[in-house]
Amino acid sequence: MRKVLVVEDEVLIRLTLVDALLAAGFDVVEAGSADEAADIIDEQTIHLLFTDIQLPGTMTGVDLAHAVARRFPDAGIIVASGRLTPGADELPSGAEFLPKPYRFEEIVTRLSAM
Amino acid sequence: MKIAMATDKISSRERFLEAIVQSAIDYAIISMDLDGLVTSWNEGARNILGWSADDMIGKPATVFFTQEDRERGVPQKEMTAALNRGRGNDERWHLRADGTLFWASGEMMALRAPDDTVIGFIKILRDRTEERERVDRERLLMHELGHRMKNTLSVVQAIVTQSLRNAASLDDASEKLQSRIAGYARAHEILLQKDWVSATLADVLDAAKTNIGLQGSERLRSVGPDVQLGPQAALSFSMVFHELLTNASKYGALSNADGSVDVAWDIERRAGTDVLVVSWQEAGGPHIPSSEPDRKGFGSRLIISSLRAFGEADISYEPGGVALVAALPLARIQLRNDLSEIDKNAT
Repeated sequence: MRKVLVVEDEVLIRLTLVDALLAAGFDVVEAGSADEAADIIDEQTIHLLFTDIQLPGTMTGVDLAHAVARRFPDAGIIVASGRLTPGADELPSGAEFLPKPYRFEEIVTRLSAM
Repeated sequence: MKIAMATDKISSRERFLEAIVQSAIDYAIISMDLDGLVTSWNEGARNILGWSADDMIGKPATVFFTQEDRERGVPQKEMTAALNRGRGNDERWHLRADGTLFWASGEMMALRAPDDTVIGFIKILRDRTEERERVDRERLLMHELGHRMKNTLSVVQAIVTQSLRNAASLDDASEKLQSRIAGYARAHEILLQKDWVSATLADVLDAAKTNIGLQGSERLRSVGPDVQLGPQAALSFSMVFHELLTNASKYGALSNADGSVDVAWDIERRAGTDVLVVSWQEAGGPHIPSSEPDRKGFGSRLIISSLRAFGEADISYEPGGVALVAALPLARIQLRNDLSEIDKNAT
């Protein structure tokens, strides 16, 4: 079972996405900040990352995406934001961007295809 | 105004025009010869740019252009445009005598003698820094509002998804949807009343009570000092109280005739940090069977996850109802962000 790390500081959005991913058969770990997520990837192997860009703490979602790509080069990565649209060269190779608001089913579909 | 010419040759009409130029203190009106050396400098120029007429007469007018514009030949281009087209206008940053920058709208015109030969230039500048800053602030505010709107839509999407997913029927879904969205809207309303800076914990609780028709209920007692919450904490507490109140009304201490709820909060000093300690204690409610679906359900997860974003929180299901305790560092729950920061910078 592939493990998805979901990083989103808006709790309601995070829980809803976690529920959708669990229902789709993924193993899910969650974090409310990129700093918290960084601790998780030090201790666990993840196969997929979904992260918001703007998060509380010292790291952004883009920073986290790069950290995940370094640690797990084959991991599928989706970053989302309602504020920023990162340039293609700002994200790790192969990472996808999704603007808010998004459909939860779309995230499940995209992660399933990665 | 100081004009570099013999004053005994000035006609009454020229004195009239000079008086007009002198009184236009909101405009820098500067004349130059063909070499770009200043020949007159009005009171408005002194007000806006900081140099006196004595400082500037005979000096190059390029002094109030930025170094970058001087290197790009902007003063010469303005004069060339005035020569070719009669006048040219632009908006750009200029330098004051004290080295500060200001945003100016300016117009450069060719100054012609009676025989129509060009004898110099007139530059009229207006300080538009405040307008420029206001436009920048408005642009930033619109960008931030756009972000907040998209985020709010995402939250509403999540509310819709969860309310439909966990509903027992369409009516149940409809009720959950409406009350959750209305509760979220009330929290926004409280924050907007205070320019999106803060809301008190008591106001957020009162709004949540009103939202589900429990305003003035004597069975729901609350006590605590005035505690200001930052925007994110206020929105989180509004959702937490909504879930707790809804749960208490449907299954807990407010679902029968005898139960009650005590909500208490205080600021405690723990390990050198001010911490908001909040408790929700239900009593006298009906016994909740351990198979109650909401026990590990979305509502409970939302309550705990929302509070743990700021500190520690634990919820337990006791025979008389729910008991919740949270300890949240004050600095984290009072954090202000986005719109409130823009508002602060604007003042």
